[in-house]
Amino acid sequence: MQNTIKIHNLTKFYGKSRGITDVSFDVEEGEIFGFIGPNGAGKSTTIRTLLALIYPTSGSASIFGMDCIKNAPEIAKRVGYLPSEVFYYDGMKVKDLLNYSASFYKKDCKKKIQELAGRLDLDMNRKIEDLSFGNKKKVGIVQGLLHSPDLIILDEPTLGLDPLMQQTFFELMQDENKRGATVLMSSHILNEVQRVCSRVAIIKDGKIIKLEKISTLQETSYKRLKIETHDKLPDDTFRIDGVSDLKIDGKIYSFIYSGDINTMVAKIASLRIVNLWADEPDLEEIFLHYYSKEV
Amino acid sequence: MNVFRQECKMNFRTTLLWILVLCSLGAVFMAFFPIIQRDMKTFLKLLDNFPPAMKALMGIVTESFSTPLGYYSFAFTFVTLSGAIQAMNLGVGIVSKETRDKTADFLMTKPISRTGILHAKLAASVVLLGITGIVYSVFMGIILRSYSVSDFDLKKYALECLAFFILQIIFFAIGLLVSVFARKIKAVLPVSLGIVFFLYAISAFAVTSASDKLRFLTPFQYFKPDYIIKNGQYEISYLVTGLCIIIICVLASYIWFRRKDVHSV
Repeated sequence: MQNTIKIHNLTKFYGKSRGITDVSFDVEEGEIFGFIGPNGAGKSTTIRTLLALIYPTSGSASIFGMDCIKNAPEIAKRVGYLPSEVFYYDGMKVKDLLNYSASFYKKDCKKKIQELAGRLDLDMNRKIEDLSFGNKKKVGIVQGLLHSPDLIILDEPTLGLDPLMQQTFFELMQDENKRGATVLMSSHILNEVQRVCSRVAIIKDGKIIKLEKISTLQETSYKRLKIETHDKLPDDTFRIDGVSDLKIDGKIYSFIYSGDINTMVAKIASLRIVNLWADEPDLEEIFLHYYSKEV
Repeated sequence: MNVFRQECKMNFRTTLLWILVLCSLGAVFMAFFPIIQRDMKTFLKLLDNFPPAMKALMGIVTESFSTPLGYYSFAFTFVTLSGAIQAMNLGVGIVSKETRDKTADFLMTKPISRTGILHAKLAASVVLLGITGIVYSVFMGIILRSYSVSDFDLKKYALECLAFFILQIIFFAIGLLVSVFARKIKAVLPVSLGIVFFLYAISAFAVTSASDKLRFLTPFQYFKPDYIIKNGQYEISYLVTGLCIIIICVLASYIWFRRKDVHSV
C-alpha cells in the first residue's frame, strides 16, 4: 500500500529550544494513525510542519508524494485540518465561515455541510464568537471535513468535546475512513487513540520512541489499580510481573498494571478486598514507568 | 478572489468609519473658513506672531492662507495625520489579525499559497484606501468649490488628493512590514499610533531644521501642500523616496511572510 504521509528525519528548532528531532514515520493510505505523547512532546510541531505552517530546520516530509513545503497549496486541496484551538473571524456566523471555507475548494460542499452540521447538532445561524468551546470545536470539525478530504489531520480533536460528542466524533472519523480518507490524529490520551487507531507513533521530548500496531498496544493494556484489602498483606504481594509504581499506604495498594488482566483478576480474587478502583492511567504515567526505560 | 472579497467585507465597516471621520474633520475645518475670511487681515496679523516652525508644521503659509485651497492646506495637515493612522492601522492589522484571532491555522492550511494570501490582502487594502481617498476627495472638492467659484484649480487639488492617497499607501506599507516582522502583535492601535506619532514628531524636527535632509525621514514631509499649490507639481526627490519606501516595504513583507513560521497560540 502507498504511504500517504512520509516523514523523514524531520527536525525543528525554535531558535535554540527543541521542537522535534529526527522524527521519521510513515502513515499508510487508508489507515487511522494515532500520534501520542505528553503535552509539549512535539506533536503539534510535527503536524504544523506537515501543514507548512512552520518550516523544518532540517529533514523533509511529503504528503501524497509531494513535498510538504514546496507543494503546500496543492496538497491542501485534499487535506482537512482541525487545529486544537478553534478560530473565528469577528462577527461571522457559522454558515458564513463554512461557506468561506468551502469557497477555497473547487467543489460543491453544500450537501456535506448540511449532513455534518446535522450529525453534530450544530446551529449554523449563530455567531461563532457566541458559541461554547465545544460548539466552536464542532465548527472546526465541519470546516475540516466539508470538502471530503483524502487526508484528515487532527490536533487534539476531542479536547473540549463532551463524551457523547466524542462518540459521535469517532463515528464520524470512522465513516470518513471507510469512505477512503486517511486520518492522522494527535492526542495525549492513550485510551482515545486505542479506540480508533490502527497504528500509533509515540513521541516524547521531541523524539519518536515507539511505533506500534494498536493491537500490540492493546495486548499490553495499562490499568491504574488501587486495592484496599481487609487485612494487612505482605509488602511483596503485588510484586509480580507487569506491576510498577507500587505504592503501599496501610492497607491500600496502588500500582500500574500492564499485562494479561485475567492474571491480575485471579490474583485479586484470591484476596479479601474491601474496595477496588480501576482507572486508565494517563500517558505521562505510562511513559514514566514503561517507556522511559526504552529511551 | 474569495480572500479578497472576505478582506474587503471584514474591513469595510472600519473604512466607512474612517471616511466619516476624515470628511467631518475636513468639513469642520472648512466651516471656519468663511468666518476667518471675513476677518482675514486681523487673522493674518495674528498668524505673523506664530513661530514659523509651528506654522510650517501645521501647513500654514501666510501668502496663500486667504484662498480656500491655501486654507485647506492647514486642514490637510490634520486630515493627513488621521489618514496616516487609518492606513497604518490597516497595514499593521491586516496580517497580524490572523494570528491574534487564531485564524491563521484556518486560512493558511487552505489551498492558497502565502503569496496568494498576501496578494489578496494587499489588493483589498489598496481598494479600501482608494475608496477612502475618492469619497473624501470628492466630498472636499465640492466644499472647496463652493468657496471658490472662479479660482478653484482642479489640477492642484487633484495633486493634493493623489498625494493623500500615496501617503496612505506609504503608511500602509510600513505598517504591513512591521506586522509581518513582528512575531505577534497583541493590539494594533498602540503600535500604529506609536509609529505615526513618532514620524509626526520627526516631522516637527524636520521643519525646524535648517537642512532639508531630515524631511526624507518622515513621509509627512514628502508632499507639502504649499509646494504643490505654488508649483502645480510634486517635489520629485521626495516622491521617489516615498515610492521606494512602498516598494521596499511590500517586497520585504512578501519575502518574510513566505518563510515565516506561524506559531500556534
